[in-house]
Amino acid sequence: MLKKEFQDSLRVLVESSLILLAIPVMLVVEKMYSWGWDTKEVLSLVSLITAFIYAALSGISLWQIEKKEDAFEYLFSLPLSRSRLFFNKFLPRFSILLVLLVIVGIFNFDYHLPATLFYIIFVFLASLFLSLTITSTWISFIEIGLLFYIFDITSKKIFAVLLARGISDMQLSEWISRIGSAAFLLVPLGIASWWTLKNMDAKPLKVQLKPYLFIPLPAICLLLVFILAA
Amino acid sequence: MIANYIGELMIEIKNLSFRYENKFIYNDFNLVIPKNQVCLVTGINGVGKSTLLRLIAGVLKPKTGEIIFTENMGDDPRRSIGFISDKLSLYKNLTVAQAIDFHKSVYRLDEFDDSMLKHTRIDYRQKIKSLSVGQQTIVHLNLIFSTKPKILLIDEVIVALDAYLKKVVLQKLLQLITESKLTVIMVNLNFHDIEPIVERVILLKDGRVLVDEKIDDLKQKVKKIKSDVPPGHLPILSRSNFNNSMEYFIYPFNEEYRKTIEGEIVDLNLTDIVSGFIGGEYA
Repeated sequence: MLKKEFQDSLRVLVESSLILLAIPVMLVVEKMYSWGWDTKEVLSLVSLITAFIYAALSGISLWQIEKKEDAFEYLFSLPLSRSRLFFNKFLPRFSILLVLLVIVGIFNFDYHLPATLFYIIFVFLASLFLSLTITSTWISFIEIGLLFYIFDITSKKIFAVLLARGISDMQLSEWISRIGSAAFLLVPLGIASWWTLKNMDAKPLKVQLKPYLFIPLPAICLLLVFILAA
Repeated sequence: MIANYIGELMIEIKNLSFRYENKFIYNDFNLVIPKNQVCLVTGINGVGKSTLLRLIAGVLKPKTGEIIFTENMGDDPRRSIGFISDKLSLYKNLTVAQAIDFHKSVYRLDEFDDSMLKHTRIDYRQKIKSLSVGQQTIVHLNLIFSTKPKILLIDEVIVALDAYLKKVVLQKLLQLITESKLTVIMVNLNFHDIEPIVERVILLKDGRVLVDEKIDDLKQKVKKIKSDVPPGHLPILSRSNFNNSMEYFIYPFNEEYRKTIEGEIVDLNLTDIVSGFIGGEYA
């Protein structure tokens, strides 16, 4: 099964890497108009965009084939526990993401690198946890974008609250706010995702998504209240 | 009615409830399936035949109750169950070779017996989605047979096979039943195809077992009477008007009735027996 999932993950990587085609174009444009781009800058930007697109697409595509090919019934008839199923799908995707993170690190080695890597992992986990609910790739991109927006605002609000409380270590405050904000969003999503998967069977998927209504939705509402109140 | 069995049991379904959205398909359902028999599950459309197979296969989860496998099925019963549904659910974007490879890795098989596929003209480099329904059925059945299941659940797929492949599949089934003591539960719309191998008939009605009998016993117990005079003193299962002549299905039939009946008494095949029961439901 791992072999099949690695092949699926590599297919997603190829799709995400289409952005690499922009490199020669950007270099030609630079030669013609001399806009001041150097090769390192181009590679840095392209690797970053590739990593973000791969993180979102690989998470979204976790159950895409089963949904598209109506293969859940076959999958659930196989002697595979739900945790093994999940890890067989997660492991190849995460391994390729790790390689991409290393590449991003090589081309973006600066003060912002840890935060950048954190954002990529956030996008990967958010799309992974949303994958069961996803009906269209474009809608899911909007959902992930919205989640990222809520994460970013919440993170800034927590940071402001921490500063107001007199915490002087800026770096520590930044990380507390980032991790806190991510945890508020990802933990309920992860629980809903695991709960759904654990209890799922071959019935139509749309009637099995109730955990998403009862766990992450109230959490997001609470966050919105916090954002408005803080 | 639940039959009493002298032989070994394979599956015991106890107090099972299952509902789809708000409609109960099964409520406090009980059934036992004996080992090494071919059982046909039948009933009107929507009675829950395919649902029953899916519940036994573990692809649907019951709300309450339990399905007990009386033989040791290892850490995961699904390893010993072969299930093929009318949906032919497979990874259809894989080639036949990739599907075999995938199946081998999941079941940790060292070898793959593709003897059934050799009867077809399937190219292993073809994607499953490009195969005909009959060819997909053969691929799926071959995948299942390669795992040497103890229980085989077949949901209305034999119908899709041509006459030659049907014969190949039924021969393979008979071989497995004899050699591996396989237990088979089938849902099929065309009884003629499978009548030679079916040993037991389970007829479902309103989420309950209406009939659970050996096919030979059932043939003794269900008769059709062609008569213009209604046999009002007999247990009439259903009636039909065929070419302006009335036909009455009698169940349970008793040999003593022959003395009192006016008209022709007809022995029935499996198709007629089931249509007698189902006709009664629609009447």
